[in-house]
Amino acid sequence: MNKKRFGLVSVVAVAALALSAAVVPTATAANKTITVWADETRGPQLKSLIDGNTTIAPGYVVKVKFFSSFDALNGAFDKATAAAGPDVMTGAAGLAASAGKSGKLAALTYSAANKKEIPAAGIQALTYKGKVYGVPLDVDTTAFMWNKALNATAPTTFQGMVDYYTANKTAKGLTGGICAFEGAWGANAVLTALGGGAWGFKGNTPDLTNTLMNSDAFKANVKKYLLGADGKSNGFFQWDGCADAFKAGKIPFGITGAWNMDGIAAAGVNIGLGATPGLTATTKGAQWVNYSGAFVTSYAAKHGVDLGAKKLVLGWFASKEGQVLMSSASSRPPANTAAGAIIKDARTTGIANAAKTGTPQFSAILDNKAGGSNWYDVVGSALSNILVKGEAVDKTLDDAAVILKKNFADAAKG
Amino acid sequence: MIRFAGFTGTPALLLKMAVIAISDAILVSMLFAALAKDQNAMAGVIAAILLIINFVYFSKRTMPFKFLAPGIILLITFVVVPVIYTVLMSGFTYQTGNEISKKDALIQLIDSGITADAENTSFDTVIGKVDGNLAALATNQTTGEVGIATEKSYTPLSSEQFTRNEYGVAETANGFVRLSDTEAADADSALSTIKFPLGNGYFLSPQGLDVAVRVTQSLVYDEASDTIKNLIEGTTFKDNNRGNFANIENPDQKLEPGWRAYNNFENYLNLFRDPVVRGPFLKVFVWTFIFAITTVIMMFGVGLLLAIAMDKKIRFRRFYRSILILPYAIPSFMTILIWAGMFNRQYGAVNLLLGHQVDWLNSAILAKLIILVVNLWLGFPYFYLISSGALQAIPAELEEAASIDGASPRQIMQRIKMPLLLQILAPLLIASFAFNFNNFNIVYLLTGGGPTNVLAGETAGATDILITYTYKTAFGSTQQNLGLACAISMIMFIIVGALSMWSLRRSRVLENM
Amino acid sequence: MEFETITSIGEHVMKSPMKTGHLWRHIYAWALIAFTIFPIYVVIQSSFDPSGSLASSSLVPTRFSWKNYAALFNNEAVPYLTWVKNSLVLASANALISVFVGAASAFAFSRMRFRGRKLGLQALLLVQVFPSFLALAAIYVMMERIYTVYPSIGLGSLGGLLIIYLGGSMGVNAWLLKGFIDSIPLELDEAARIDGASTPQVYWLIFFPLALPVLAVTALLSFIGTFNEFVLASLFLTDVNQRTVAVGLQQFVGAKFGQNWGPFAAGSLLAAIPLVTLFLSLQKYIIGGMTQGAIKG
Repeated sequence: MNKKRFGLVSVVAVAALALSAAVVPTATAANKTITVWADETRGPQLKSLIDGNTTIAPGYVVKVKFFSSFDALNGAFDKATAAAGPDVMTGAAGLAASAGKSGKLAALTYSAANKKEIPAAGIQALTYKGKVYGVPLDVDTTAFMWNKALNATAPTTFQGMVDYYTANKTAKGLTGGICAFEGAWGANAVLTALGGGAWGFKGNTPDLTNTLMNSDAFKANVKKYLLGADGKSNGFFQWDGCADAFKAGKIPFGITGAWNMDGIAAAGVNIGLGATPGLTATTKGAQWVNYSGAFVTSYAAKHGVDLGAKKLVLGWFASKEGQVLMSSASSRPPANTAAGAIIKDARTTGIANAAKTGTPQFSAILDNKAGGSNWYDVVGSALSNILVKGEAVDKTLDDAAVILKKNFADAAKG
Repeated sequence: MIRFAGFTGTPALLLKMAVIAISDAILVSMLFAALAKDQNAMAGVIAAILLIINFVYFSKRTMPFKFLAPGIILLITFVVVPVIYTVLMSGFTYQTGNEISKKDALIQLIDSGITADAENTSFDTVIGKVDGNLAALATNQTTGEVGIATEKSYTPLSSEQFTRNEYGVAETANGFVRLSDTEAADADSALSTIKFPLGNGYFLSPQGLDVAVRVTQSLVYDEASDTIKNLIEGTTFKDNNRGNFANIENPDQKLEPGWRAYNNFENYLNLFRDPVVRGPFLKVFVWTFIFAITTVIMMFGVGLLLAIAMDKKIRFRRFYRSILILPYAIPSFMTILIWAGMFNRQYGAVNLLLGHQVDWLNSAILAKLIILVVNLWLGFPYFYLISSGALQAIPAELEEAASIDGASPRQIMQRIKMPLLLQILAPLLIASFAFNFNNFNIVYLLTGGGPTNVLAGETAGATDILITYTYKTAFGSTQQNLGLACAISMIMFIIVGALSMWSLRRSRVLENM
Repeated sequence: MEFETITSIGEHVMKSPMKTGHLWRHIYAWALIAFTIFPIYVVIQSSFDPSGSLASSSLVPTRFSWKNYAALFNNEAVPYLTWVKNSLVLASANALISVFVGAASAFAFSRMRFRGRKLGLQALLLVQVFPSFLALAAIYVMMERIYTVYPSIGLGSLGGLLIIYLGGSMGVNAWLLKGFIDSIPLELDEAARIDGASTPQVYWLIFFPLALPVLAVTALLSFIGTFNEFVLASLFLTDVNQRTVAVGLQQFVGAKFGQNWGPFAAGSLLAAIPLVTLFLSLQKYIIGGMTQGAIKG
C-alpha cells in the first residue's frame, strides 16, 4: 500500500476505535429470573397470574414468555439450548417421555404433601422409566355433549341415540347423529362404547397383547349401530367434518373438550355435558384422559435457578392455590384433587365428571408406529374406509389390528 | 452526453471513510463484547469479517468483491454454516434420547441417578448456615422430627433447641443462622448439588428452598473406565459408541439420556436398509419430480399468457392487475387452509358450487389434482410479475424492426420474444423448480401428504413429496430422528442440485454470460 | 425523427385488427379473476362469520357480524396495529437492503470478470436448492449465542430476524436480477467509461436508474415474502409487542384444538391492504418505459 492509502486506513482505524469506545455494551446484572414458557392459550393466563411475581419463590423473579402457537412452542423447545432455554416448560404430558428421554428435563421428587393432593394417574402420565418429570396441571379430555334444544334430556344408551337420529332425521333436517370434533382422539369414546378401543385391561393395567380393534364384539356392534342394511353408513356417526353442522344445530350429539365450548356457545347452542352413553344404561364410553404438565428443565441448573424453579413448580403449579387460579382462567378441570373439590364452575365440573369415566392416555404407545403408522392414523383410516368409502367392516378392522398389534408389541418393549 | 461531475473526489472519499469507520466501530465493540462473554468462536468470526471488510474496501485490486462482500458475508454466516451443520449432523446419531452432549448427559445421569427411600421421606427445610457452612434445618413431614443437616453430619435436635412456627415446621435453632431469601437464591447453584448426609448411604436432596427428600445415590460414574455402575442392582453400563451407556450384559438396555455421537454415517446405511423408510422412497420421489415440473409449467404458462395479455394498454388494465396480484398478497398459510376447507366433501364451497359431493381429499388422483390447482392459484401472480418484467426488458426496436420486415405479431412472439424471454427467465424457472421440489407448505397444509392407505401398509401418502415424507419420518411427535433427516436432506440435495446444474448446462445460460 | 415515423406507421398498421384481438385479453383476465376471487370470497365470508369457522354451509352468507374485526382492535392482548407496524418496518428494511445487496452482487456477476465467477454462480444456485428446514436448528442455536452477547440483534429481536432474512436473500436476488441485467446493452457501459467513469460511477449513475423497474419488482417480491413469513418469525419473536402480523395472527389458530378462524381471516385481509397498495403504487415502475427512454437518448 502506498503512503496515501496507509494514511487513510489509519485515520479510519482511529476513528473506529474511538467510536467503539463510546458504544460499550452494558453489563447485565445477574438476576435470578425463572423463565416460564407456554403456548398462546395458557401463556396469557400465566402472564396475568405470575409474571413478575417475587413472592412465590422469594429471591427470584418469575418471567412468562409465550409463543404464538403450540407448534411454535414445541419447535422452539426442541431447538433451545442452555443459552436461552426456559427454566420451566409447560406442555402436554407426552413431553415427559420425549424431552425426559433426551435429558432436557430435570427429574422431580415429590414431597409427601404433593403426593397427597396429586392423583396417581396424573403422576403416572408424567413418569418415564421410573422418574417423574413434572407436575400435572389440568385434565385434558373430552366430554359427551347433547344439544338441549333438540333433545332436552341426556340419552341413556347408544341405541337411544341412534333411534333418536333415525326418528328425527327428516323432521328436524339432521345431517348426522354424533360428531367427534377431534378426529381419532375424540372418537375413542364411541369406539369404547361399542366394545372397541385401543387395548384391553388386566385389572387396572393395560394389556398390550389384547388388541380390541378387531374383537368380534366390536365388529358386530359397528354393523349394528353404525351401518345400515346395505353395509354402508347409516349417517349416524359423521366422520369427515361435522363441527359446523353441530354448531348449526343439525347434529344432536357431539364429543369435544373445553377449548371448543366457547365457540359452540357463541353459535347459540345450549349443551349438556356428561359421559358417552354405552350399550346399556350403566356402561359408558371411555374417552382418552390426558394431562398437561409443568416441567423443570435441565437448563435451570445451568442458569443457577434450579431450586427456585422446583419451588415454583412443586410449590405453586402443583399446589391447590395455583391450580384453582389456573383453572378459573382456563375452564379446565385441575389435576390437584383438593383444587378440584373447590371448583364450582358448571362447565369445569361437567368435564371433570366426564373424566372420571375416561381411560388414561399413554402417548408413547399411541404414537408408536412400528407397524407403519400410529394409532391415530390407523383408526382414522379405518373409520374413513368404513363410514365414508363403505368398505367391508371385517377386513378393514382386521387390517387395522395387524398394524396396531405391531405398534403395541414394540411399545411394550419399553 | 452524460456528465460525471458532482460525486467524485473528496466528498465521495469522505463518505466512504465514514461508512467504513462506523461499520468498524460496531464490529470492534461487538468483538470486545464477545470476548468478554467467552464466546471465542463468535469473536473469531467477527474478527474475520472485520479484516475482510477493511481489506476489500481499501485495496485497489478487489473491485468485484466490493460489490459482492456484503452479500457473501451474510450468505456464509446464515446459509452456508447451517448447511455445513446439516452435513455434519447426518453422520451422527442425533435423535430423541440422543440430543445433548456427553458431558451434559453424564451430569444428568448422575443427578437423576438417585432413588428415594421406601417411605418417600420428605422434610420441610429452612436453609441457613451453621459455623459459616451451609446447613438445613429439617422437619420430617411425617414424624415431625427436627434436625440440622450439614455437609458433615445430621444432628437431631431436642425440643428446647429449636422453635416451631404455626405449621409445625422448625424455624429457628441454636447456632443456626437463617439465610435471607436473596442470599438463598444466590446460593441456588451450590444448594442444588449439595448433599447433606443422613447416614446409611442416604442424604438430603433439596427439592426447592423449603422442601427436601431423603434419597440415595444409585448410579455412580467411574471416570477411569468410563462406566456407570448401578449400586442397587449391581449392573455396569459402558459407552456403546452410539451415544448411550448400555448394560454390558444386555446391550439393549440403555441409560437415558444419551448424547449425540458420531456414528460413521450409519444413517445413510439405515436409509437403504430400513424397509419402512426405503419402501415408499421411489414412489414419493417420482411424484415429487412430476409435481415440480408440472406445476412450474402450469404457473409459467398461465402467468406468461397474462403478461402478454396485459402488455397492451387495454381498458381496466390497472383493475385487472390489482385483483390478480391478490393470491400473492394474502398469506399463503391461510389461503391454503381455506382451500382445504373448500374441498371438504360435504360442506366445501367447491362441492356446493358443483352440486355434487366429490371426495377430493380421499382420492389419490383427485388429491394430486387439487395440489396442482391450488399451487397454480398461489404461483401465477409471481410468474406474471417476472414475465412482465422480462417483456419490458426486451428492447422495443427488435419488435419494430421485425414488423418492418413484415413479420406478423405471432411470428414476432414466437421467433423473437419467446427465445429472449426464456433466456432471461431460465434461471428463475430452474429456481422455481427447485423451490417446488421442496415446497413443504402446499402439501402439508392442503392434504397433509395424504390420502394414505394406512391399512394396506402404506406409510407415504399419495401427495407426499420428499420433504414432507422426510418431515413425517424424522419428526414424529414423540420420536424424532434428526440424524436420519439430515441424511435424507443430503440425498435430496444431491439429486436436486445435480438436476439443476444439468439443466443449467443444457440451457446454456452460463455460456451466454 | 425517422424512428418516430416508422413507429407510428407500425402502430397504425397494427391498430385495426386489435379491437377483436383485445377481446381475448379481457376474457382471459376475467376467467382468472373468477378463479382468483373464489377463495378470497370465502375468506371475506369467514371474516364476517361470528362462529369463527372456515367451512360454510352455503355459498351465500347467512350470518353477518363485525365481531371478528372488533376482536382485533379491542383486545389488549392483541396489539394488531403494533404488529402491522413491525411487519411493515421489517419488510421494508429487508426489501431495501436485500435489493441493494442483490443488485450489487448481480452487477458484479454480470459485468465483471473475475476468478471464481462461474463457480460462484453455481454455488449460489446450489445453496438455494438445499432443503433448509433443518437449518432452523443451526440458526436458532447461533441466534441464542448472539443473544447472550448482544441481545438487541439476537434471539427474540426484530433486528436478529432481519439479519437472518438478509442472509438468505442474496442468493435469490442475485439470480433474479442477473438475467435482467444481462439484457441491458453493454454499449451503455462502454460509452460511460469512454467518458471517464469509474466502476462505482457506472453502477450508481448508469445502471441503477435503468434497472429501477426490475429492482422495484424484486423489492416488491421480497416485501411480500417477508410480510407473510411465519415459520422463522414464530420461533424467534415471542414478546407480544415484537411480533409481526403473520405471527400475531397465529394465536387464533395455533392451538391444537379450538381454532378461531374469524379473527384470523379478518386480520389477514386487513394485512393484505398495505401489500396491494404497495403494488399499486409501484405499478408505474414495474411497467416502466424507462428502458426505452434511455435508448432514444
